[in-house]
Amino acid sequence: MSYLISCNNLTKHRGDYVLNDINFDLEPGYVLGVIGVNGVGKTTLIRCLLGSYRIDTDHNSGKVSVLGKDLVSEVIDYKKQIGFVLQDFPFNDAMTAIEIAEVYGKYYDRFDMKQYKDLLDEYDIPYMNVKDGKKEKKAVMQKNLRELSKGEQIRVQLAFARACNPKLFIFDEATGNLDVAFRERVYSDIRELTASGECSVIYATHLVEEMEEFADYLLWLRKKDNQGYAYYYGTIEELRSDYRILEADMDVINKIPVEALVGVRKSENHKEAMVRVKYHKFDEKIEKSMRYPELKEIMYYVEKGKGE
Amino acid sequence: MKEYIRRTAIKYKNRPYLFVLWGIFLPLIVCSGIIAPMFLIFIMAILSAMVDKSHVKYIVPRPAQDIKKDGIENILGWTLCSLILMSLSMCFEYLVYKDIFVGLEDNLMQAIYYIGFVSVVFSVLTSSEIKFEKNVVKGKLKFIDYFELSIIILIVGSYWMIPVLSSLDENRFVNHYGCGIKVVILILSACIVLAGIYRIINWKIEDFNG
Amino acid sequence: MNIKVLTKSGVPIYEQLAEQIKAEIVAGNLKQGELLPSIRSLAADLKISVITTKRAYEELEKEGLIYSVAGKGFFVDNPDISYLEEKRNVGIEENLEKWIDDAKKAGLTKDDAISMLNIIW
Repeated sequence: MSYLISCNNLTKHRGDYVLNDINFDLEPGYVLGVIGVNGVGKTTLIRCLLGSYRIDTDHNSGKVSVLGKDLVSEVIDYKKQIGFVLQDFPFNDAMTAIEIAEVYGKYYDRFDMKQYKDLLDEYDIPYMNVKDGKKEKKAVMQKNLRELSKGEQIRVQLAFARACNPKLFIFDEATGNLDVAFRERVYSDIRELTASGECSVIYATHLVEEMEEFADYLLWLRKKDNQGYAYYYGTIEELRSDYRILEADMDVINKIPVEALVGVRKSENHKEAMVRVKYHKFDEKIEKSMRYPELKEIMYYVEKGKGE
Repeated sequence: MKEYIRRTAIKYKNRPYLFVLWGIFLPLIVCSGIIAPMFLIFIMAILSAMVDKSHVKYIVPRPAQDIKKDGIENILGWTLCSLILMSLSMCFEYLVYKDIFVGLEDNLMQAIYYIGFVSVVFSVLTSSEIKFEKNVVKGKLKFIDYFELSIIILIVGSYWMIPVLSSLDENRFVNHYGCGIKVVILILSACIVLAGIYRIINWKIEDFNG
Repeated sequence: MNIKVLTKSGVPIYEQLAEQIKAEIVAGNLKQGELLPSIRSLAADLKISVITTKRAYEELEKEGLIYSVAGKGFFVDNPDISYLEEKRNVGIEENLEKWIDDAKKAGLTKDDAISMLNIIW
């Protein structure tokens, strides 16, 4: 199965921070979630993948390609395959929704203006006037983007991205400003986009709960000594199978060998620990009372802990 | 150029009030004498370069040369605009007062004012287009930024200082220093135009620095 | 089919899913030759990854409970129902043993246990 996007040894230096050696491959029809705490380098990675940032290409490292088009040597064809929805609003907000399509749509071979307008409609970009009970549809799209709320700006971006009909969608912290109802809509849109098996999605977020709902693969970025690196890359199931949560009394928890213990959480009425099950075989009785953790819990314990 | 005109047309298409504004202010500017348009253009040049903070141009499939071409067209467009506006002012002044740069007797001085000012506009546009504003905001000014800034301040400052100094002691000031000042301003103007051209030649589309 | 999967469980999700589908087949709620929901629609409904639903279906296919037709999806096979029923009963027996164990610990007699069973059944 050929990959829709292939990322090999991506490295980017920015001042004294470096994003080091990121690798992943994504097949068409799947979602890659990029998670990590704030400041770890998710947005840097996204910008490298979008072509906003120049990746380090010394020693012939750093190759990214989408549908066989290389980021560095075929940058225009590469960028044409990508639709983007970014928290950091990229368009000139002095323009209107229609104007950005008129100006930027033409750079994408498959951009469809009618589809764009239909999507804006579907996304309830609000109406400016209500006259005699009839909503002034035309006025909507005349509103300067800066007059729209952050959530509405995200929706405009999503409409534009979809109307470009790309094969790869890249989302960067896109749902933070959306209400729950619209967030669900975005998730179902993403499922719809990948359902045909032709498009893929890369989704960066620090909201881990989202990932469990629709991500297939996970790229977990962490930072050590101002170096961002990939702590984990694989499926969510595989990650969860490495760990268990043990809810027990402190005397049981204290007996857990140090190399298997990731972290402990205790309050007055509840004590629990997260353990690694790879290299240690637990007592059968203890094993029976262990459960799989949520992604949220894994992140909590690992990020809180002493590092690795 | 086509792209630039197209984008400007789109901007104006849905904003008819912009035509009205230009229609009212343009004659006012032209008729208010040469100094007013000079400073107006100076301010508008800074504003126009600072208005578009969008970084979408680094994301959409556009070759880097096109982004540069846009920027250069922007610079040349506004510089040309300032030349035209100031020329119109001069014509108006001549028609009404039978003289240009009313208040400045020396023809060479007048020409130098004109040249110096257009150089300043060109330089400001060039440096804002090519990330000057980002350097200022981030606080990491490079040598060329300091260079241009100081010359701009010198030239603009001198425009205020010369009439003041002349009025204080007309004969002595103009006789002793007049020629030297003109030469200095011409050299400074040449320097900042060269600095602007240097920026354009060495323009690399760097990372978009968020 | 009403599937429920728990993230915070002692059992991996794909296994929970496979078990529940298996139970439906054994109980006869899913008939032989019936088309199962696609891996994507199941993933969307349960809000899990498509990789998980795919794995669950693959496990069931390995056990001979379902089979796939390229381009069409997964169908219920003609499994050895009696063998599966027996396996299922083993699970019930294990639960019964544990229940008896708990009852004994709580001090119930055999008669108490039987009358409790009669009332609740």
